[in-house]
Amino acid sequence: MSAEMRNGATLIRRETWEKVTGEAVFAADFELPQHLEGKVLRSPYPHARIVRIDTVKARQLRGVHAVITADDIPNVRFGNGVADQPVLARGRVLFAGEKVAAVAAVDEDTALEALSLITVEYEELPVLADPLAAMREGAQVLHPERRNYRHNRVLEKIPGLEMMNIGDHARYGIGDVEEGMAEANIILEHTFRTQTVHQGYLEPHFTLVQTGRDKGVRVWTNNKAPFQLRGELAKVLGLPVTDIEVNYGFIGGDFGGKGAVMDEPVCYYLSKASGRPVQMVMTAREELLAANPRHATVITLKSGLKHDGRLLARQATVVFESGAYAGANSHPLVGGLRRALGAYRIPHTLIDGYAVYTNSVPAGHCRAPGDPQVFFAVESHTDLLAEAVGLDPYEFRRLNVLRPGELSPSGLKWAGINALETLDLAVERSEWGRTKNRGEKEEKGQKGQKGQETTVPPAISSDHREIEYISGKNKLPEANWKTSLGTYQYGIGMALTERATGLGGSAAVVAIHTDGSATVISGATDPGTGSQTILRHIAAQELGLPLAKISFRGGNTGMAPYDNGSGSSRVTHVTGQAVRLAAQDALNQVRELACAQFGCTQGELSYDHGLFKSPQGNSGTMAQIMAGSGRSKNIILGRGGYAAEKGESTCFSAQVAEVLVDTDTGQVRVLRVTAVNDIGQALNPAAVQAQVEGAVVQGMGFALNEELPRVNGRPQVQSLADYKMATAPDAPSVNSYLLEGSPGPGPFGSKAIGEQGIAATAPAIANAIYHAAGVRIFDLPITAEKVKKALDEKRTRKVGRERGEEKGQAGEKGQAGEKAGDRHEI
Amino acid sequence: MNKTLILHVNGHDRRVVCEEGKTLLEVLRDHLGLKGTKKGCDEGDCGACTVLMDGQPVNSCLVLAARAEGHEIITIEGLEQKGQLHPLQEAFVEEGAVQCGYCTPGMVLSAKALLDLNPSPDEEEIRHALSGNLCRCTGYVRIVKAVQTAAERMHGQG
Repeated sequence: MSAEMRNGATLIRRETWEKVTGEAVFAADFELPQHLEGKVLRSPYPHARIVRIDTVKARQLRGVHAVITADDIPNVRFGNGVADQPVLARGRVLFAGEKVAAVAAVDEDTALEALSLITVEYEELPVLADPLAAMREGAQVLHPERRNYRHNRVLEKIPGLEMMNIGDHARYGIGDVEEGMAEANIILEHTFRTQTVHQGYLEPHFTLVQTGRDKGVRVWTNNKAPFQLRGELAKVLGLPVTDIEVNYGFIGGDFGGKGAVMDEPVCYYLSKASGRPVQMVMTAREELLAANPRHATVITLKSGLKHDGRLLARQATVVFESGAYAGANSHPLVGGLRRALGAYRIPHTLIDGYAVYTNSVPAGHCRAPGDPQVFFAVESHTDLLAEAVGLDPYEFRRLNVLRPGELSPSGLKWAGINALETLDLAVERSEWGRTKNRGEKEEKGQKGQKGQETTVPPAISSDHREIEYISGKNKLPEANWKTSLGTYQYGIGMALTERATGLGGSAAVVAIHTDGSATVISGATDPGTGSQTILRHIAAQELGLPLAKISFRGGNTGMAPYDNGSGSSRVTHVTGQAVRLAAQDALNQVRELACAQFGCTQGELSYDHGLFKSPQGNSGTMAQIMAGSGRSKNIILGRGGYAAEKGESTCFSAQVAEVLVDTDTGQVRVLRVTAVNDIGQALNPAAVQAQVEGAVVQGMGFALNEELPRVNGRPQVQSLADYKMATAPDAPSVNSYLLEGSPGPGPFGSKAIGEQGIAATAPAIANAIYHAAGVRIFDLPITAEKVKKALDEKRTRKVGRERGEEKGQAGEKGQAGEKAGDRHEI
Repeated sequence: MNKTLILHVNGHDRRVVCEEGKTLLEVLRDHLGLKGTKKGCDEGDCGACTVLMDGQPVNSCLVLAARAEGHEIITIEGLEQKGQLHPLQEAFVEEGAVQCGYCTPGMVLSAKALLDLNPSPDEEEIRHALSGNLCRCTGYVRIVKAVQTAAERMHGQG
């Protein structure tokens, strides 16, 4: 590793020049002559039998080239972990927004007119809107034909589930949870619910499919995992992968939402039927109705503690609402399930996870699938536990946080556990550490917090290094936060989370050119994270060349080598290692050329600062060696392949959120979030912190405003105006700190950041709201209405809520927990 | 029915024959090939299609092309002057304010409208001026910084 790398120099992302000038090519900027516009008719009903579809009039409309329904295409289903989703509904629709028919026409207006001429007769069926109701035995089964679905790993695993709506189930833990609970002095149980949220990318799904007798299938898309898409299409369409070419450009935001099959199969069948290329762009309404948003959840946590606050046992029951289909996920039970136990030392644990089919939009991957949901529950629960044993939330976490060498509560053994340092730094760098006494501000008094001294964290240890980025807004309201604010109450809250560095496989090629420059050829897409820059940077470091000499090529599955796809926090680690190996291979080949030119051995040859040297006094740059080697020899293609199947480290994150709660209206304003990420080694610190900043604001939306509500399965939000993503004035200050020093599996000891910044935000805000106003909200989003209602109830009752029971009353839910558990989606 | 329009875009008169009822966004992208203007929600909620009309940021998806006749339209492609990028474009790159880049053209143009009117805005004014442009990637942190940096540089020059 070079000294330059250790300095963590900020790398300018070359491709962003194209993006500020408008030259960058996104999927919708591709053009194919003679293409048709495709549109789909969607079901208005969440659950219905399709009695009859009449397409005669639509077919007769001038300018219409194809109209298809399930009857016109093979009976195929697609999906990643389980192939459960039909291309067009066949006989039954399972969610409001499901595709029923499709048309291809000369232009969008004609296509829309054709849709209006299609009549569908439905017979409405009872709606399974609640996952808890859907998972009960005896509930009507939404997928009675499950046994026939392709690669259905689930049913092989659990034969008894086929006549239920439980799409997947897992149960695991460590120790003996019953024994742990029996030893506990205090047992607390809470139920939390989280809502369906959209990923929020601005660029809608785009698909363009061209079919031909000899050409095979060519796809243009903004799918961020083009090789997985190609593989899935090959299976669905029954074609060899080499007949399918997926082309892609820059991706206008993903956040997990662009990794699944979307409109590619329907465009393929429209193209087959019309003999023309067919293009389809989802409208904002379709995105909100029928993309693959984050899973809604119901999470029950039960923990057993000693009087002194030590955690002994934890039981987590997590229900992920899959919606109508689970195919958008690599596993119906998303990865966040494992983290439902938190980042603490707990000797006895048990997780029960369920993925449940309902009549709602099919859920999919969304930035850290499962994590924001489970950590909202775990870290809210953690504050409740701290209060019950009379400890400050920070002290309670310090007492129980996982330490080096300890087994994770889900039974994993990680190298380099950095949780305590991460937590301490968040306190030290935030208002929490500065005020030292969080209880001081309370006038009305809050149980278990008043007057307690917060533990002052130790200074950061010398083998760790931190990188700071302070957003400018800090200076503005701070002085007034705690005074003269009328009905506003200030609060501060924290949360601690973890998420592993991503796994997967990738191959890369590094070509060295005759002028001594190099090109990284990789199939990794860049959904905005800066993956191209980081991969170029890794190659530059290995080749000893300046970054400016390294270019990047990809863009199509026919040319670029396989990559798993830019998701799951894997690119820097997995693709990065493939690129590193390819660069090493390429360099080694240039060394061979240098040895031949200098007449020395590899052992004698040195390479430093771009110069090859032999002991005999010969020297030459990369360009000179390449130029001097003759045409037959100076073709250098370095190859690298890398696969990571098992994770041995994780990345800890801690956040401290500061809020103002308007106690008259319940409105919450997030002032500032201090975020610390355990990053291993930041390869491009500015880009790493930029990921955290975006994730925090996305996490704030999850906490407070964003929701895709349904009434009995019917979606209520159908435009971006009603889907309340944060605007610039809404966004808080984000102060981001990167904690280096605990090496990860990526190149040069790097870890991951794409998803690690999001999960701590919602619980830190929820805890801050409790600190500010004394109300605990168990179901997201924490809207002003919910806060107001809770404040009113609190005022009316004027009694603190009892949540802790002494041993002997174990299992009885707290008041608020029960309320949340009983609540139905609205 | 087709209609002939003369649009003044990025300093040039452009003759466009298009169907009646086409939006400015459609004409810019599909007829004039100015694909730097991005189509997001197509309902005026996200701001990705922002262009300047007589110096004011507008959602080009909500403006009928015919209504743009007689007005000066600036798109992201029109910011570069004599091979020199606008200070906002430079600052967006240098401050790391660009991630996926889909909001960037609209964001830069909204920022330009602000700085043309108010050369030294404070942070609240910047955030307010950008409130019609959604960005999911950045949390707005570095976008605000980039506008501040550009304002300082332009101020220094002026």
